[in-house]
Amino acid sequence: MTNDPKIVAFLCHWCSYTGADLAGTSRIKYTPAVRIVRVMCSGRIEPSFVLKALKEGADGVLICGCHPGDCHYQEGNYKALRRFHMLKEMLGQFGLEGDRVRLEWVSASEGDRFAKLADSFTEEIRRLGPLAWKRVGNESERRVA
Amino acid sequence: MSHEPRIGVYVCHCGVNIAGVVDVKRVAAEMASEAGVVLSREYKFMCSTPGQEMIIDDIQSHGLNRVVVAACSPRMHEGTFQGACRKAGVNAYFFQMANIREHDSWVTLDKEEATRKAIALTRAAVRRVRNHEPLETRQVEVRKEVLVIGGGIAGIEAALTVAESGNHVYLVEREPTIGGHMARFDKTFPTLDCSACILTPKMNAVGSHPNITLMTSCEVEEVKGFVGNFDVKVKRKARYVDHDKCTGCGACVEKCPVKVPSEFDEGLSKRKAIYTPFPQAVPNKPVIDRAACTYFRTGKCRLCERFCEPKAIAFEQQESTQEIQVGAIIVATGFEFYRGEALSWYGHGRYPNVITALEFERLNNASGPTEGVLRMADGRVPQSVAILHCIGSRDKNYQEYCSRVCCMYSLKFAHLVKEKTGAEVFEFYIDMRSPGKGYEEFHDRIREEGAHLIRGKVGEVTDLAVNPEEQGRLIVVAEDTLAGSRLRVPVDMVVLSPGLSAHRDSKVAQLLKCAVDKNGFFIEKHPKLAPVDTATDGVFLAGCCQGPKDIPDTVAQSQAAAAKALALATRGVVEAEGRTACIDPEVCAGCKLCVSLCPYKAISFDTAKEISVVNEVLCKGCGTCAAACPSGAAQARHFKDVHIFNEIEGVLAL
Amino acid sequence: MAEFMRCTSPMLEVAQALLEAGGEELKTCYQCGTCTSVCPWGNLIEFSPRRFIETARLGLEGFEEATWTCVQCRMCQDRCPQQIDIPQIFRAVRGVLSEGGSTPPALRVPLAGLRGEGNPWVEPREKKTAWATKNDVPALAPEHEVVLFACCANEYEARNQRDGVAVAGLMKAAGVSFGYLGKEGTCCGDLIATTGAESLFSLLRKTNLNALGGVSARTTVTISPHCLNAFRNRYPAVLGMTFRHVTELWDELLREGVLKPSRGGAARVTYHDPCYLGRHNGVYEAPRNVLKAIPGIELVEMAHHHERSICCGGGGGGAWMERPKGERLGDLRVMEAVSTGADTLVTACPYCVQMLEASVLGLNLEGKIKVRTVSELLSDSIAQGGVE
Repeated sequence: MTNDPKIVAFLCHWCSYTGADLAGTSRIKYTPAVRIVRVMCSGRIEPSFVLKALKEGADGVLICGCHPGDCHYQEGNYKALRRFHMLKEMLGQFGLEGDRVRLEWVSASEGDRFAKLADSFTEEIRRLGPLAWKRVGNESERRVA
Repeated sequence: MSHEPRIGVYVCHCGVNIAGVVDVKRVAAEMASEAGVVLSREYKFMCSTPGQEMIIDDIQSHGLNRVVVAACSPRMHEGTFQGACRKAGVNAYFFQMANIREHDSWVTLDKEEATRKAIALTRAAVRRVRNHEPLETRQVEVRKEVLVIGGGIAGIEAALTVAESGNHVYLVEREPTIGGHMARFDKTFPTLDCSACILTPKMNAVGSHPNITLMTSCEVEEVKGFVGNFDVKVKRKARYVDHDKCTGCGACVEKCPVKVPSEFDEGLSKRKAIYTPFPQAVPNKPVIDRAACTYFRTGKCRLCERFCEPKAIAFEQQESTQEIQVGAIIVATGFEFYRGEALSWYGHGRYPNVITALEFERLNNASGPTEGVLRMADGRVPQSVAILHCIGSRDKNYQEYCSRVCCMYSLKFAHLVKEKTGAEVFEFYIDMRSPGKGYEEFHDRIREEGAHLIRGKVGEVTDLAVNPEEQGRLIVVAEDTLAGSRLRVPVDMVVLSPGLSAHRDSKVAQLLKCAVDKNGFFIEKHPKLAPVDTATDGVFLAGCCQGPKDIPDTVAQSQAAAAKALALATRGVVEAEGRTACIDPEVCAGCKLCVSLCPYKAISFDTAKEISVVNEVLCKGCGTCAAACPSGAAQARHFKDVHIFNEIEGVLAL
Repeated sequence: MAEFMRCTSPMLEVAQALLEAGGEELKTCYQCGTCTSVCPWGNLIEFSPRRFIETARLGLEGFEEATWTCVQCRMCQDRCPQQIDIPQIFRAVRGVLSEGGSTPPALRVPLAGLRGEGNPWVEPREKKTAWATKNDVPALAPEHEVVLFACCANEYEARNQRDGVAVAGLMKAAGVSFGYLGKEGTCCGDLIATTGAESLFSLLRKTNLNALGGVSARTTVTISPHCLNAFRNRYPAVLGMTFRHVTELWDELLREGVLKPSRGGAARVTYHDPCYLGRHNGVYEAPRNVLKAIPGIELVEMAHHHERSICCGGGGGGAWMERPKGERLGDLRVMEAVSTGADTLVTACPYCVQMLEASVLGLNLEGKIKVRTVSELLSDSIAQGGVE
C-alpha cells in the first residue's frame, strides 16, 4: 500500500473541515491517502503551501472551501478560486499536470460528498502516477524552499 | 518565555472508537522520538476528568510547555484541553490537537493504514506545536438586545421568553401578521385544544409587550458583525397604511371593491385588496396588496382613503430600511408544507374533492371559509373520507425524510371528520408514527372511534369507475399490505397529508453564514448536544427551520434558544479571536494589497510610516492578507507559514 | 416440536443467492405496497410485487410462482418511494430459478430459437433478410450514415413486416442515407434478458457489438423500442453510437419539413405508449407529434397514457406466454382504446402490435378498431402524395 498516492487536503475550518468531520461521525469510509490540514479559510491558502506539499512528497493537493456565497469570511473562497487558477498555470510552467491540484466546495453537511471526493481525486491521482519532480529539476526546489 | 519546547503527547483511545482501529500504543511510541517530546502517553478517555488532570499533573511535574492531544475533532474538545493547559499555567495556544477519530479511525477500514495515518497526523501536530507562540484573547462586550427572525409559534415563544427576562427583543416577520402556521390550524393533537385559543393570547402578548419591538412586513436584509455585536439591516416593505395613525376600525376593508383569493384560507375564501389576514391578526391593522389594488393598477379608486377617518392610508409610502444592533439572533423561520408534484399525482388540482391538509384545516376552522362545516366542493357533506399519509414524504423521488407530525395530524383529521360528519374514514399509512406524550393513546382513541386504518401507501386516486358503486366518486387504490389484498375504496373526499419542507426561497441562512442540510433545514452545531446552537456563534435555532417538529417540541426548542441567547447576554462578554493577523513593520513594503483584500476593513495604512497596520479588534483571522502579502510581512497568527509547513511535513512523513 | 410446525424459518441461503444475482435492491424495501397498487395486473389477478419482495428477501416459499408474472412495465419502479428497481429484482430471481432448471415451458421455444437461429420464432436464420430483398431495402454499406436495425418480428413475422416495409419506405422517401444491418446482426436480446437468461443475452449482445463495431455510421435507428432499450441501457456505451427510435427520426424529419404528409388517415386514433419507449426511455411526445402532423387525424388519449400507460402484456416474456381469457392486459388496453371512440389503436412496438391485435381478435372487435403503427400511418399519408 506504500505505493499508494499521498494527498494533502487543505480544508477551511467552517465548512469543509466540518464536512470531513461529518464523514467521520457518519462512519463513511474513504481512502487513508488523504491527509487533512486545517486552515481557517480557503482564502488563507497560498500557492507556496501547495508547492510545499508537492515537494514534501504529496502526489496531489486538494483544496476545499465553503460553497460560493457561504464563506464564513464573506468571500475568502472567491479569493481561493482566483489563486487556484493562477496556481494551475504555475504548475504547468513547472512541467506538472494541472490536475494534480483540485479546488472543490464542500459544505458542513456534505460528509458523503467529501468522502466521495477524497476517493475520486485519489483515483485520478493514481491514474496520473507518482509525481515526477525530476523533469522540473533543482530550480523549483530552490523556489519552494 | 523563550524556552526550549517541552512537549507532552497524549493519544486517546476514545474507548474503542479510536483504539479499536488505531494501534494507539504504537502512535504514542513513535511520538516519543520526535524532537522536543518529553513524554508520550496513551489513555482511555483524554476528555474525562482523570485525562485532563493527567495533562495538568504532567505540566507541573515535568515542566511541559507544549501539549498535543491526538483524539477527536478540535471542533469537539479543543476548548476542553485548552482549558486544562490554561489551568496549569500554559497558554492555550501552546496546545494542538490531532484529529485521529473523525478523520481517521472512523473513516478507515484497514487498521495498519489507520495507524500510519494517525502517526502522520499526530506527528504534524507535534512538529507544528514546537513553533507555536502564546496568544492573548481579548474580551468584547455583548449587546443585550436579541433579534428573533420569524413570528410563528417558535418566534413568538422565543421573543416572549427573552422579553420576560427584561431584555429587549426585535421580532421580524415578513408577513403582515405574526402567528405563522399555527394560527391557521383548527385543533392541535393530541389534546384537541383549539389552536387559535391557545395561540392568540401569546400573539397579543407579543403585540403589547414593552420589551418587544414587533416588525411585521419586514425582512432581514443584511447581517454584519459577530457574536455579541451584530449589526442588522431590516427592510420594511411598504404597507401603504400608516400604522401609527390607523385605529384598526376596518372601514377601509369594508369599502374596498377588490376581491382576491385569501392566502390565509389557502384560496378557499376571498379577501380585499386592503386587508388584515385574519380577524385576530397582530398587529390588527390592514395593509394594501399593491398587486391587487385598483388604484395602484389603474390610478383610480382611493375608496379606502376616502373612508379612513384617521387619514392613515399612505399610497406614497416607500420601502424603508432600519438598522438595529443586537447581541444574539434566534432563527425561527419555520417551514412550508410540501407543495410538489406528488400532490398532483393524487389528483390535487384535477379533482375538486382532493384537498390538502392545510385546506382541510381551514375548512374545519370556525373562522374559515365554511365557518367550520366540512363540505365538499358541491356543498354536500361527505359520507366517506380517505386520508393519505406520506404525500411526498419518505419518498426518494420527493422528500426522503419523515416529517414526524403528519401521522399525528392525520389521526386528528380522522377524529374531526368523525366528529363533524360521522363519515366513514379510511386512513392509509405506511408506518404509524406516534412517539410522544399521549400520542399513542390518541392513536388508540382514533381506532376506537372506528376509523379504518389501512397499512399501505396509496398508488392512485381516480374517478374511473368500474362498477356502479364507484360511479361519481373518487376511488382510492392501495394494497392493504397486512391483508395482502389490493383495495379500491370509493370515497367522497380525499385529504392529502404532505410533509414539511424547508423554506427554499429564504436567504436567512446565507445572511447568517449558517449551513443548511441537503433538505434546506438549518444545521445545528451538534445533533445531540448542541441542538439549538449553530456553527455561527451567537445564532440560535428554534422550531421547524431546524427540521420538522410538532408544537410542543417547537416551544421547548424556542425556550432553549431564548435561554442560550440570555446566557450570552447575562455573561456580558465574549472572548474575541486570538488568532488574528499581524504585519511585521520591519518587512512591510507598504504595497497596500492587504488593505484592499480585508473583508472586515481591519487593515489601515499608516501614511507616516508607510506601512499597513492591523486593527486586532476588527480582525477575524481569516488569513487572506497573509496569503496575499508578497513580502511575507502579513502573517496569520497560529496559522503562520511555518505552522502550515510543519504540518505538511508531518502529514507526509509516513 | 409439533406446536412449532406451522412456523417457517428464513432460508437465508436462498435469499443470499437472490441478492448475489442482482437482487440487492430489495434490501431497502419498506413494504408500503405502492408497487402492488400501481401494478396493471391488479386489475385482473392477485399479484403483489410487495409480497414477492418480502418472501424473496427471507427466502420463504411462495415467491417462485409470482416470478414469471411481471411484465417489466416499470410502473412500480417509477412510483416506488425507495426508488427500487423492482423489475431488476424479478430479473434476478428469474435468473436464479432458470439456473435451477425452473424455466416455464412457454419460454423454452423462444429460448431454443434464439440459441439456435438467433430469433425467438425458431425460423431458419437464412430467412432473416428475405423481407428486405423482396422490398428493396438497401443493405448496409460503408457510405451509409444511418444503420436500420429491425426487430426479429419485422424480419420473420408477416404482420410486422408491413411495419418494417413502411419504415424503409419512409426513410427512402426522406432521402435518409441508410442501410439495413442484415445477417451480421442478430436479435437484440432485450426481451430474453428480462427472463433472466443472462448468458444467452450476452451471446446475442456480443454478436451485435461485433456487427456494429465495424460500421462507419454513427447513428442506429431501431423500429422496436426493445432494441432501442437494449442498445441504450443493456449494451455498454463503447460503440460511441447514437441510438434512436424511428418515431424520433420521423418527428425530426417532419419538423425539418423533409417529410410532408399530405393525405389524411383514419379519423380518430388513440396512441398506446409502449412501456419500453415511454417509461423505460422517456419517449412520449415524438410519436404523438408525428400523429398530430398527419392531416385529418384526431388524436384522443385513453384513460391511462404517458407515464400512466398500461402494458400490452408482452413485456418480460409475456409475449410468449399464454394467458386465459380475462387475464390479458392487452384486452384491458383494447377496451380502454375502444371506449375513447377511436377507430384506430396506434402504437410503436412490434410486440405491442402482436399483443393488441391478438386481443382485438379475441374480443371480436375487428370491425370496431384496427391496430396500426405510427410508421404505417405516416407512410399512408405520404406514399402516394410523395415527397416533393
